[in-house]
Amino acid sequence: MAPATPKKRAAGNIGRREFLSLSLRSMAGMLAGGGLLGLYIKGEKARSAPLRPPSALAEEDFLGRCLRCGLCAKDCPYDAIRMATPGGGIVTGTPYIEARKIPCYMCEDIPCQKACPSGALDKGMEHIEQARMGLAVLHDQETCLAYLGQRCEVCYRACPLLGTAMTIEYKPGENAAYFLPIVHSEACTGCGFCEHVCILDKPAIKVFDIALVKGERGPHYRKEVLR
Amino acid sequence: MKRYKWLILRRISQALILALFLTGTYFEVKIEQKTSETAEALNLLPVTGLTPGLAPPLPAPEETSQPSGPAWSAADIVEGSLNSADILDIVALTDPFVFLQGFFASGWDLLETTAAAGAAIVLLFYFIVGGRVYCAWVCPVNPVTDLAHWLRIRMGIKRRKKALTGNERYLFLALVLVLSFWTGAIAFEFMNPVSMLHRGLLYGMGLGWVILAVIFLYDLFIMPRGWCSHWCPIGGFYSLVGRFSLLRVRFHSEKCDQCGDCFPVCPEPRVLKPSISDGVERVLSGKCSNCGNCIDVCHTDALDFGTRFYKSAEK
Repeated sequence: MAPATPKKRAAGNIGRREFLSLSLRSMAGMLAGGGLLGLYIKGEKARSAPLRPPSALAEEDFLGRCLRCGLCAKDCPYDAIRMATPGGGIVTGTPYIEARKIPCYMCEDIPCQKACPSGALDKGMEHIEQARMGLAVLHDQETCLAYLGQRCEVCYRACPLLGTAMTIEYKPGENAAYFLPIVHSEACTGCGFCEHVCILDKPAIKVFDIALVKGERGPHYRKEVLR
Repeated sequence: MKRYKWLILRRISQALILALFLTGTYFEVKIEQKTSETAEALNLLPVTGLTPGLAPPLPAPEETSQPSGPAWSAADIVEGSLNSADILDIVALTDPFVFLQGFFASGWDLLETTAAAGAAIVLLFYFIVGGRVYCAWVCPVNPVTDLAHWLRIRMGIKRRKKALTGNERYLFLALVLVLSFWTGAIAFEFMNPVSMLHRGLLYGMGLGWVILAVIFLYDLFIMPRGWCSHWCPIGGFYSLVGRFSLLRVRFHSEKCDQCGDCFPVCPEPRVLKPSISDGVERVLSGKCSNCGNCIDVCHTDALDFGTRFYKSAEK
């Protein structure tokens, strides 16, 4: 039997030693780069809490579902939905609403939800009143005109769910009565109209991430006793 | 002109696709359908002509009104972006790579959505025309990196050492999928220059140009064709699709005079070699993007497009 002629190595191929070394280096590079990228993504995700379009999944699930396509923004008749850009503080390419500029108009037919191809805007939500984009909070009583004794009520008048999501509470004061806008979390959709119309230079009422602002009583507190 | 045939066609394809998205996004001219307009007019006539109370009951809407036309307006041919799009509000298209990451990040529920159908359609398309046809004919970053490479050659910048193999994209691809699974977020979208550019042109750029500048400079000064031919995991994904795809560059060895002009114009290292040097009649590597550079440059017409099943007559 003739001795096997050594096969000519093609230019692209490499020897075993080189291959092992390359593999090890690649693995190390993957772990190092992947660790850093993973930390970055985890951090971005943990910090991410913008106002999402109505029927959006919880932020935790949303970032794994949203394909960053922009169809919801495209189909929003009021251009309330914007697409986040790099360096803007919101996860790149995701849709968000900046209520102070354009709030959610709470369309009956929810066109943004219909446009979403991936279910990041959950089709399970049937009525726009069920949306919980966030929760409006009158966070600054020091500047709010109602708390200064003025009858402003602009936010109350603008609320699309006036009477349920927002009411005016009458409180007698020393010199005059107060007419205070009160948000009810069981009805507020977080549309942001109150924030949009607030007549101050910087709004005293804003929509926040619900998890950020909503407290929770333990089951051992009974409401009727507390009253 | 013939020397640039496929290049020109590619640029037209890239421009056309971008233009379709741009018209869908910026020029939203709602055009009412003629049929529904006349139907409305018919509906109103009996009411306006008579005094209230005497008006006969309105005809049932089904009798007079034509079935109203499709709801889309004239300009909404394509809307969305390369990540996921709608054609005429009828056909959904979804980038299968983004979809795959979404699947890794969010699980089985995604398979029951419109996006799944869209991804299947797109995947089927690239199985036919060649996986990395996306890279050469659709991707908006391709003109950017092509420009960097053209400049690199014009400026005479030489590469010193071969540090990368061209398989880095598969590592990056695997990494992106692992990261999607780990973080529960579509990982590559945090740094994807393709969607940042494309979405940027459609919905606003922000600081997206920074990452494009990084790629441009990397390709220009550090690694020739560094992004598209070495790192981009989208290209990696479509390379895997391209391993099985139908449309191929064919090589007719009897016409070839071994001038070697095709090697330097090929954006991929080593995909032409098995054909030109070792006698395989088709370029079978998934990394081939069917860009047509080699066909354009060949002065003996030894290269053209055909299917993967091609066998030359002599054999």
